[in-house]
Amino acid sequence: MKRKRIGLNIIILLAVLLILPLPVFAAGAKATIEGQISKMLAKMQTPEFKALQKDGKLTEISKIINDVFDYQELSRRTLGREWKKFTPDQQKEFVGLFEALLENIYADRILAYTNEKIEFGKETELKKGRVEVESYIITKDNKKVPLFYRMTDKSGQWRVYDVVIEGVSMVKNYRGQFREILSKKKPEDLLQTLRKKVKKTG
Amino acid sequence: MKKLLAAAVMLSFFLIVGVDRPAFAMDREPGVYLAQQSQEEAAVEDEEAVEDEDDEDYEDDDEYDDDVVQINDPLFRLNHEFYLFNDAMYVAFIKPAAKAYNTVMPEEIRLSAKNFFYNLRFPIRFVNCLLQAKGAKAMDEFATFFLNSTVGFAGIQTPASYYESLPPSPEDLGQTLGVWGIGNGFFIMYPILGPSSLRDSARFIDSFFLDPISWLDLDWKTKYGILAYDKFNEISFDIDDIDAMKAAVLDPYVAIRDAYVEHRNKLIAE
Repeated sequence: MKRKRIGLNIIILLAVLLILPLPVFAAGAKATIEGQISKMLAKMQTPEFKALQKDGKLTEISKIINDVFDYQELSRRTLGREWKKFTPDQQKEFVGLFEALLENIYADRILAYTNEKIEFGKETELKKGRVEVESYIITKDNKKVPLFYRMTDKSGQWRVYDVVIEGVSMVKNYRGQFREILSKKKPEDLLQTLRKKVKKTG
Repeated sequence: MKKLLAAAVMLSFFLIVGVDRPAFAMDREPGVYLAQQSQEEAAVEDEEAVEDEDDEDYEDDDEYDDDVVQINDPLFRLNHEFYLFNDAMYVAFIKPAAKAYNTVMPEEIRLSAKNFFYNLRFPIRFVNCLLQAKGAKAMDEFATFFLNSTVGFAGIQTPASYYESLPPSPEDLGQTLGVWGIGNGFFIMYPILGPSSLRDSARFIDSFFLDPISWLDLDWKTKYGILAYDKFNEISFDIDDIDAMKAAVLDPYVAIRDAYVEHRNKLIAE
């Protein structure tokens, strides 16, 4: 009787695994981002971190952020069709500049974080190798701000290539701006604008 | 009489929004209709994309299918001027005032004021839930209002948020019209009031008929004083975010316009 039940359990387990191979496979994304964020928040609570000057804090945070984002993928998606208008050297510089810009801004924002609660929700597969992980920030007036991470494992590790806040995709928003600039100007001008911007925020 | 006026305003609104597509398609000016332009460009480039197999994943990206600007902006020049005006006002007056206000006024009080005004505007959200035939959401709205008004001391506290489903996401007349299938029309940047669209300008109807502040028997100076305070108090929570946004973007006007449309689309879809 008992053995029969175990056999049945195994069959059910196999059936479930067969039906749901994708969510099981995708489980890595949510665990990755959740782990990285709690690691970051834990680090910010340590006395060593609190003793650092602002610059030191920003460097520490940037280290973790760089592991979270897939800047190559992010840049590629943001430029979309415009990517081909850039020479390989320009593409490389673009990725570097975009990385520096986002790094500065995110590190600054994370430093401004004041213990709002962060909840993680479900993860959904968008396409093979791409998932969206839902998270919510509970603000001081007890409203839930949805912050979704879109992630890919192209680089061999789950990394974020887009952040969607209250329905607004960062990649899409930048894409609109870059398109606007590139409709009138050359890639070199866009790089120049980015260089100036990075200098200002850095 | 008030009802009649409301009906008249609504009707004229539908007429304007309903016919905007053919009417404005006539006097299309190249360069101003960015949305249109980039859609055409996209169509051309789609053909090129097929040649380059390596790039296919990025070109035929279903995830960002609708990646071009999603709203017409025929008033671009005027809108952009108003954006510059708003930004100058923000930098010169609003931000310094908000900073001073934040140092003087404890956060609990600012938060209470924010909660109070949000709770007060319950009629706008409730009526629009009903107009969209969202019965369950209307009940949630009512439950939130009831709890926060009583246990939460006239809305300054938010006990309702202890329940998972409360408060529901807010509804307004712009969203109602969106749910009824009416498009944005075109983008409008209002001086002081900020980004909106022709359709979302329906919020003036909301404020006129359903905002309890407009029901008060006060002279217009006091009334607008209250409204201005509410708006200012809200901004006092956002100055860091606004600064971060301005540091992050390359073209703040385009960024705000696109973000506004995307955010509204999400609210309408909910």
